[in-house]
Amino acid sequence: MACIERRPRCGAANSPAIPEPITRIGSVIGIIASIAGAAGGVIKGLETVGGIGVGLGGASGGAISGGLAGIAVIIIVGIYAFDRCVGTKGLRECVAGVVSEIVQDFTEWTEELFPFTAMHDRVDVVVKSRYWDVLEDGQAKVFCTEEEPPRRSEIMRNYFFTKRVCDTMTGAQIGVGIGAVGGVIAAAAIGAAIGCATVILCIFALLLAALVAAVAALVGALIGGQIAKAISDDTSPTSGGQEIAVGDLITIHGNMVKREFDENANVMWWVSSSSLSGTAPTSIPSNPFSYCEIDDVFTMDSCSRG
Amino acid sequence: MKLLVKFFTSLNIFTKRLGLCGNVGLIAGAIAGTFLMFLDMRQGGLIMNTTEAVQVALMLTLFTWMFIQFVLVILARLTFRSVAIPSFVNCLLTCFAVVFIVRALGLYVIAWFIGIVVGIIIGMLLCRINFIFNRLIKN
Repeated sequence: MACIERRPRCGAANSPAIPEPITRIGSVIGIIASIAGAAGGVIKGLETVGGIGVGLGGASGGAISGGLAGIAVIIIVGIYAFDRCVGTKGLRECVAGVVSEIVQDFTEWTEELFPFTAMHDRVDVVVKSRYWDVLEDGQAKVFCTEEEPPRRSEIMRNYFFTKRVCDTMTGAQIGVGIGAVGGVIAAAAIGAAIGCATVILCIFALLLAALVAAVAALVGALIGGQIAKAISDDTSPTSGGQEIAVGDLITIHGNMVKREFDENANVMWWVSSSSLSGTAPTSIPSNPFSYCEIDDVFTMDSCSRG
Repeated sequence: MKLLVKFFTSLNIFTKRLGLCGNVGLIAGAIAGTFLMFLDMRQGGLIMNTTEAVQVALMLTLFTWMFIQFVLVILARLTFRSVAIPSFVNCLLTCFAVVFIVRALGLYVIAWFIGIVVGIIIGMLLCRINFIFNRLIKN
């Protein structure tokens, strides 16, 4: 069969250029500023119209500043927990190909330091050319190998639900709450200690209070997340009890969704079942793999396609 | 928590249209404006001379830039080298514009709103200038 004339549709016209969660955080900060602004407006109104003195003191100024920073961190951790551990209803799909890369949870230092950013185990598969339509469905972004056409191939990201990641999220959520409370207390103390003798000291106190509260909330998330991670079991992606390795010929069934955190690519979120059909022969090029050979060596996969 | 996250991310449909620079501008502007409002409340009627306004703008620039580095580098996993300078320019222009516009108008009570609007405009303008500049270089 070898290579085919059709070119894979790598990248995508409809794919956004903004990596997530930037737009979500834009929304969070916009809404927090609006709520704080509305509350500030009410206080000002009371002072101006009602003649009621509700001016911010040193401690209360620091506490409010720190409280807003703490809320922002809590919501950011919540966004991750919501994204990672709440399933999204998609399409039941099946793809087959060769495993080109395995990215396990907690592989990056940022995932250790900010455990709420941890990601489920991911198995990247260079799919057979007959599954390209599946990956390109709905004008999704398509990840590809970097070879020149006609050997360029499409890659599908397949996420295996990793309990340890969601346990970590629970721990981080508890930790961030406790940390934020501690942070607000520290922020109030900072506000009271530095005071507001000059404009510069005043803004410095407010900013430092917010910074300390945010760091305290993040430290809480770190401690809570790491404790939960330590208690939870470390697992690797498996298929029928056998550990998956690069070069395995694999068929994957799962729930396919277009994920914003994956640049709007169609991914398996999560894999429901998988089966291995041996290993790609060592005689074929493997850096990277190409559908040109996989189409030939993996003719009988377990998807019920004609 | 699910409801809370849904509520706070409800503007996502709008922020998606702003592009990366627009979002950075929005974040910088919203933070700068909110702190200016607090500063006014804390001082009980804020009066700043030009030197103080510059110092406040610089402090806000540093703070917003640090937060934006956390969002872009740690959370969105962009490289520090690729975003550090453009985002600093965005924060610097946004914070200075917000501080001086709010100071000139004396509208500290809606500084947060002015911050959001100014931040979005500056951010989107910077992206547009960058786009035109890149096209000129290509041509």
